[in-house]
Amino acid sequence: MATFTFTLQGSSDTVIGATDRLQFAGAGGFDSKVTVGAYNDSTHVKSSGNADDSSGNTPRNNKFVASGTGDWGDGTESLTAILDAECALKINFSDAASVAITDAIFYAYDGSTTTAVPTGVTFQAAEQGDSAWTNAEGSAAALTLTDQGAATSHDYFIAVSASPESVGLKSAFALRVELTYS
Amino acid sequence: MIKKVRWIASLSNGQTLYEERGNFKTIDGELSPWLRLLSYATENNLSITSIALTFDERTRYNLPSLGKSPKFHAFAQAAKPIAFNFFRKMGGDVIEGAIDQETADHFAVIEAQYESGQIIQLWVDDTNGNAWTLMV
Repeated sequence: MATFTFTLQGSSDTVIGATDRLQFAGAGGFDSKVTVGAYNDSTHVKSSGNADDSSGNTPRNNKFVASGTGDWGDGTESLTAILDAECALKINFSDAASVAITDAIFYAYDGSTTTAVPTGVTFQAAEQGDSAWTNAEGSAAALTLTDQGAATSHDYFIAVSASPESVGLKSAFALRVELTYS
Repeated sequence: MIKKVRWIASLSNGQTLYEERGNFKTIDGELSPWLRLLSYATENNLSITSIALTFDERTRYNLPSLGKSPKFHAFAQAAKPIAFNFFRKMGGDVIEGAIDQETADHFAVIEAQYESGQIIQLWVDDTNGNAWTLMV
């Protein structure tokens, strides 16, 4: 049985359940707005009942600053300095058997057509160890994740940051991971 | 989720091997059945001569093979692959999408590789057995 588990990392991790949403928010915390053209100052998990599931877990936030730099709580740093635990998003893939992973990609799209860019959002992503952000919008511009050798559990640590291009809630905005295993 | 789509591979010594049968059952923590098949073939200097998928042990999906006794002339005349491969493909959404295995996109894929560099892929959906072919 192969399984994906998406987690918002923090002092304690918050598993993002099937009906939850990952929320990019402003400096005011949960449900606060991000200024148009600016990037997120906080990241949260919002339940289907609109509760803050990550409250109390001190969730990580990754903020795009420039191509090779970001802010994850200590001021602007080189992207190469981010640690696994400082990446907001952890994606775990597990299988009962020991499997190798290749061709893993991660990207944002409009929630219905994987080649389409999200509507009204600029999205940046980087895998831990990358030297530059990837403007990962649509499957053709996806962030390429590192191949991993045979194991029953595989973790990907990903820095994520988003910026609204206009006022209003962005609902045509989904994140997707795809991978090959055998 | 139980794997409904499984591979069937024939080898150059005439053996036909089935995922989740005999020595190729999934064993927790051990290499996957496919990786064990590749090791077995390498250790015994064997090659794969055909590959297929089954869905629910009923429907079978075949790719062009190296079989020597095709039933129709068209199969005998068709170009022969030089290699075969198998993998699984999984995708899931993080935001506003169901991410558990029951609703993630999960396919089993077999491919036949040709001397020209072309590859025919056959994708079978693990949830319903629907199939697609791709040339890449």
